[in-house]
Amino acid sequence: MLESLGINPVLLIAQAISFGVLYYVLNKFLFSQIRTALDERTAAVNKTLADKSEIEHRLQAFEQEQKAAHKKAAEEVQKMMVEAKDAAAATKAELVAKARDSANAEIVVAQKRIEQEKLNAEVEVSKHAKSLAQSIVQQLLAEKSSDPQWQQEQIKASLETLKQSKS
Amino acid sequence: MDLTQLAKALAIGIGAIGPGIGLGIIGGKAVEAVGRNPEVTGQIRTIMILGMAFTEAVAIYALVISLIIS
Amino acid sequence: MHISLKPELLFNLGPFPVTNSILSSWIATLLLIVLAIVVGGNFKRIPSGIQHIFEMIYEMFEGMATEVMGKAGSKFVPLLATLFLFIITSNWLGVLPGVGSLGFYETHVAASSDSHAAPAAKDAHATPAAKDAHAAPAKDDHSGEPVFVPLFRGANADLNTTFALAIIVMVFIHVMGIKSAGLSHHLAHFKNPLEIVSEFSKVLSFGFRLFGNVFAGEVLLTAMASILVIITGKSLLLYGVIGGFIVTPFLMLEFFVGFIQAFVFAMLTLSFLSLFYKTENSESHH
Repeated sequence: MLESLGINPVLLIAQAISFGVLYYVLNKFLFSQIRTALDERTAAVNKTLADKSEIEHRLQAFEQEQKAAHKKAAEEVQKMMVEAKDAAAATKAELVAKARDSANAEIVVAQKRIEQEKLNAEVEVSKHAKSLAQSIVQQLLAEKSSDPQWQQEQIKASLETLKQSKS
Repeated sequence: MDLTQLAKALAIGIGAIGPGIGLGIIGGKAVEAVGRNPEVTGQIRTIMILGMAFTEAVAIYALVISLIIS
Repeated sequence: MHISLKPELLFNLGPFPVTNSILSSWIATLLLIVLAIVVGGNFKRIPSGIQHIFEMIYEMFEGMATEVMGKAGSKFVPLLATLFLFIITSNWLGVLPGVGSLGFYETHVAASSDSHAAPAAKDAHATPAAKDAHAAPAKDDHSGEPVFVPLFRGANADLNTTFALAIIVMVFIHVMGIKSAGLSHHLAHFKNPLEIVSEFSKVLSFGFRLFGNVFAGEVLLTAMASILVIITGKSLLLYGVIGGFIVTPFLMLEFFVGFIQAFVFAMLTLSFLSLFYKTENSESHH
């Protein structure tokens, strides 16, 4: 039976040995290298994926940070604007008040001065008038004293006024 | 009349009937399966080839017997 | 048309008979070894050419092994890939023109001494002479005729090769089973004596499947070539035209069968291995 099928133990063992040699050589020279190459490639791919997720993570965090910073900045600007408005209003009011105060003070001073000057002027005028009246009176007196008639008339008139004031 | 020739022919002829039917069933069922869910075509093909190899082996035995008869 | 089930003997190397099929298998082995050393010698990080093909095959089996056996499967990928590569290489080398047709005629000189003793009754002596051909080859009246001995024969068209592969695989499977589960656990698989029979039938089916497919392919190609010769006679032009229609489809079929059988051999090895090899997963269940 075995003979008619051509099975020969020597050939069988020879084929087995040659296959074993083939297995050893392929494993040593080729498959071990393919194995390491595949492992390396898998590791590289995994690393890339991990890097990618990390980068995405970081990007997200960065974006959030940026957003927060934007928000904060906007809020600050708003706050500053409000503050500035307040400050401006305050300054304006102050300035206005100051201006008013100083104006009032000046007005008061001016009024005082004006009053003073008025007073001075009045005094001056009255002085002037007095001296003028004196001189006029002196002149008139000097003129009229030489006229006895006028003198009598005058005396009469003044007596009259006296009489009237007494009555 | 030489009966060995007839024996050879009968060995492979009768022996091929069963595997022939079996291969037909396998192929038909595989096509059916692919038609039902085409997304697993690759897996079905692998299983089909394995099943066909087993079925075909029976025909191969018959062939070997017919070749041994002399 | 003469097709021999056995490989033909070419010459004897001491006690070792060198047959045409073992010559082919050596050529296939040598080819693969040279390729492996050349590719392994200048292994590049970015694969190209043959390295790409080797990596593709390796990855294909890695995918299947991890699918069937989990992470432990990647340990067996070298064996599966080697089986696949050896079988597919020798199958495809067996389809090449010249294999089976290139050879020489050999006359059994030793038998010719008294072959002319009974030249007259050639037909009458044929049957009895064939009967005791093994016992007394000298009386075989074909002994004087030259016998064609092909120089190459598909390595897997020889039961020695296929059974060698089958036995290696089955031994490997059982060694791995014992290694992973321990001897007593492994022997527990064989409480039923039918299981033992099934193990032997696995070897037979492994060996005969591969042999049968490849051998049947060779027979088919020879038959087609004979039909071609019968149809065309001796016209070379007709031979070329009709040969394209008659032989080419079968050549394609043989290339396909060569691939499928290599694939099936490796796949069956994997699935038989997964029956006996205990993975970490199943160990944790115990």
